[in-house]
Amino acid sequence: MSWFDSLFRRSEPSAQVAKSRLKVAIQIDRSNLSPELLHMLQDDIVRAISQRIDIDREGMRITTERGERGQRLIADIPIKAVRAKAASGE
Amino acid sequence: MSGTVITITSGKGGVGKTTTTANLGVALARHGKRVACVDADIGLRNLDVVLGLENRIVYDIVDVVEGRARLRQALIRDKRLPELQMLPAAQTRDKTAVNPQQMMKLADDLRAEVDFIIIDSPAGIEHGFKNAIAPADRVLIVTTPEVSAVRDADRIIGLVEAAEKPKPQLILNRLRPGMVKRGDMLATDDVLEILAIDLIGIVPEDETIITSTNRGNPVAYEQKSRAGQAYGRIARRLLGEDVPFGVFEDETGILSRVQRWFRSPNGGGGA
Repeated sequence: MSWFDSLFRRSEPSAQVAKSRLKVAIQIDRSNLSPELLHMLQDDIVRAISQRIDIDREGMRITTERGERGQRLIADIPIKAVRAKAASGE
Repeated sequence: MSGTVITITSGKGGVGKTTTTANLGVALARHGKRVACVDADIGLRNLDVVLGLENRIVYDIVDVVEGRARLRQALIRDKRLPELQMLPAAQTRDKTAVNPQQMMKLADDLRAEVDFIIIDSPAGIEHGFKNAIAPADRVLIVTTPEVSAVRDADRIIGLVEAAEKPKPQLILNRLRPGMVKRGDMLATDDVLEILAIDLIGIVPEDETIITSTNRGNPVAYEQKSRAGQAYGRIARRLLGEDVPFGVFEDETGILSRVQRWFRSPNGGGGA
């Protein structure tokens, strides 16, 4: 980015910041799971899945959602590569 | 015929529950409906001063619940608008002086007298809030477009659902269209997306609220102000009318600035 762009670049509107912060805070409020517990769950899932496939740990997200029929745990896990042992069905 | 109980709640304090209760009471009464506004904030009585009825209190909600006064003795009728009555909160007791069963009984007694019972809930999620929603047929959540208020509104929505009440509806209060346009305030759609409930009204920020509350004269008596008109529209929606959600004029727009210049006694002055 040139100096010209940075001079006129506006920072993210504060309403957008408010919206994304609220989404995260409310997501945690809605789940009865603490952020620490979610972290521990994330580690467990990584350990289990990594035995079979390579996943992108950085891009992984564990969240909860409150739906009509109670709470759901949602794991969004980007796959890097399927390992040979998964393919061979070992 | 039996009256409808509408509970006004928010979780967070200071977002405008009492102002909303008073103005919806006035707006519904202006439609000829018999209305009783009930102050459920025991220990922190305020609906009386917002409605300008503070000098006429003899008995309060706890006197009625404990049998020291009959309901009709405790209800204060608004002389300006005879369809409107108010049941004040007790000032010298605390929230535990009334329980949810007593609130249900009180509401049932009021249902026989009026068309609408509007309950002003205290802030918080404790005893007073539980009292206020116990008899509710409808729940209206008041929030402002601020992170703290919206977050608390989400908590309250969860608690209202857990209490197996009908899905609450939202009043978005103190919206500043100019700030929304600049991206400096959460927009109506942002708040609705986050809370995932239906909207029943948007009330724009309006200085008239402060001056009218100073006088104990809710803006909905004369629906000249923007906020007064907004309460009028919410009342019509409560009565089942399909009133479209308009777009508010930017309060810093050239037209409203010119209008304000003509309206102010010394011409212009403040921004």
